[in-house]
Amino acid sequence: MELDWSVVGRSWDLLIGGTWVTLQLFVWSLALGTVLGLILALMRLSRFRALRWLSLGYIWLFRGIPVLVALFFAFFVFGRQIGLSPLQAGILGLGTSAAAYKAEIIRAGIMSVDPGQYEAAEGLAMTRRHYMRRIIIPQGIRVMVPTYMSNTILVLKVSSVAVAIGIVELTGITRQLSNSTNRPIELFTAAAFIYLMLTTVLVIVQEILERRFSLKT
Amino acid sequence: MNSDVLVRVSGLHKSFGDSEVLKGIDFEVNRGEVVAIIGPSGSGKTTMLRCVNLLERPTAGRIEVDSRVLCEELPDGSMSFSKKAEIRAIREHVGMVFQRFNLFPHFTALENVIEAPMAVKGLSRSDAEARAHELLESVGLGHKADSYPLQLSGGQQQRVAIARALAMDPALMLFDEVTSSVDPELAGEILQVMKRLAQEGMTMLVVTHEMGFAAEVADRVLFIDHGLIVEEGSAKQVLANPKNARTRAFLRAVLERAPMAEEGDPAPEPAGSSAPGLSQIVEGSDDVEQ
Ligand SMILES: Nc1ncnc2c1ncn2[C@@H]1O[C@H](COP(=O)(O)OP(=O)(O)OP(=O)(O)O)[C@@H](O)[C@H]1O
Ligand SMILES: [Mg+2]
Repeated sequence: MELDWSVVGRSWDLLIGGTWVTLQLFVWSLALGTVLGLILALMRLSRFRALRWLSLGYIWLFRGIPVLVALFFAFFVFGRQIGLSPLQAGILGLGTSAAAYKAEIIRAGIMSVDPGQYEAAEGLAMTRRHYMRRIIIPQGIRVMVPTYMSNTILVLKVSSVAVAIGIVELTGITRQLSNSTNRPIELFTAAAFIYLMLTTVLVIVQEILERRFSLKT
Repeated sequence: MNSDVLVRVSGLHKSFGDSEVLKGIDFEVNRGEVVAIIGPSGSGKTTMLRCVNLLERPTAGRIEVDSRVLCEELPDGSMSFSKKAEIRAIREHVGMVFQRFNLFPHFTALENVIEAPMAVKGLSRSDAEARAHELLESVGLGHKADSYPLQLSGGQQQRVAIARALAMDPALMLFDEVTSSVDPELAGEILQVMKRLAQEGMTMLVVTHEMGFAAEVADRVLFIDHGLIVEEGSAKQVLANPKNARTRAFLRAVLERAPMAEEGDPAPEPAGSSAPGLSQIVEGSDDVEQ
């Protein structure tokens, strides 16, 4: 079979358009997942049993169901009833799923901090709110970065399931183009290349964060 | 407010699950007094010290610091603890230095010292930094203000930790075996700082294995064993002339750097034949002076 790479050049604008949608899905669901994940992690570490159970229940649920199912829920329940756009429903579905993993990653990071740090902060009469923000979480971040970033790369790639609720992101546009041009190999190679560029950026971000949060010795 | 007694502990009990670690501790510390707490490993010294600023919650008893009650037993036998804000208000005046330093590793020495004064006392950054530079200077680390904890030796880290506690202008300082995790040759520089603090009139409660320091600096010594104060008195009396057989056995073991005799064989020796070398220690300490 002859490969004809010119189809990639002709489709480039559409592929970039799809990439833009992928980026929107990714950035917003990552933001939602991280903020919600932080709240869930703090709830799991709370003194209040009700908050711990609520958080545990959430994590159990969203880790237990496929992302696709969460996505359909977001689309059919929230999209249809509340009137979210498909993109908004996609962000909701992906973000709420990601939050369950982010919560566990953040919790593990926070728990890795030496108990002596809490004691020192308590002994200095700091409020819990203050030392969590200034002492504990910054040290937890150092431990979290590798797992957080691995999961973040996954969030980027998993955003492609949004095609199932009709969002034409990078994977979706590539499929449409390959159907209409009958050039799947060239087009999916191009899509893979674009995904790889995006994930490479994330790998670089990870490297920067690891340096930024490493302890000076 | 200005009674002479700064710390008043009575009937202090603490259990972890089924094991009772403190079994009824009573003591007082006067303003300006240095009290050393000695005793075998696992006897409850750390637990007792941590109760004084409520890092550990007693299961029974009453603790009063600077005329403020941290906890007490209600008539029905249950424990009543001060409100969080009240506990923090007391902790503002109680500095604690830990065996393992517990410096904030992501902050420089200076940042370690200014964090609490700014956050808790509301000092401006420039005021906090000015004071921090003074304190770091006073512990001999003026030139290390911008170093991170992991760039410092154990002795230096511990001195930063002392400066950090002093930055809160405490009325009372708690020290928990602060030389135990540094190389022996670095212990002296920490003890030096503590000795000067004592001379300046700081009230100090010092858990220590440094008998030389206790002998030279402490006004009083408490010997704790199995969760009870077994012997208490002036440093001279307890260290040179211990009345209790357990105290004698402990001191001898410390001097010989040998493991502690086990419970049940309380070295039945006549009083007076206390461990060799004790009198030298009480007379003149060579540990402290460098
Ligand atoms: N958080 C805890 N949970 C359970 N047991 C504890 C806890 N903290 C201390 N203990 C136990 O209480 C006892 C007294 O401990 P503590 O640390 O007060 O002794 P110590 O006199 O300071 O000993 P050392 O000289 O070794 O520091 C020990 O048997 C210890 O195992
Ligand atoms: Mg101890």
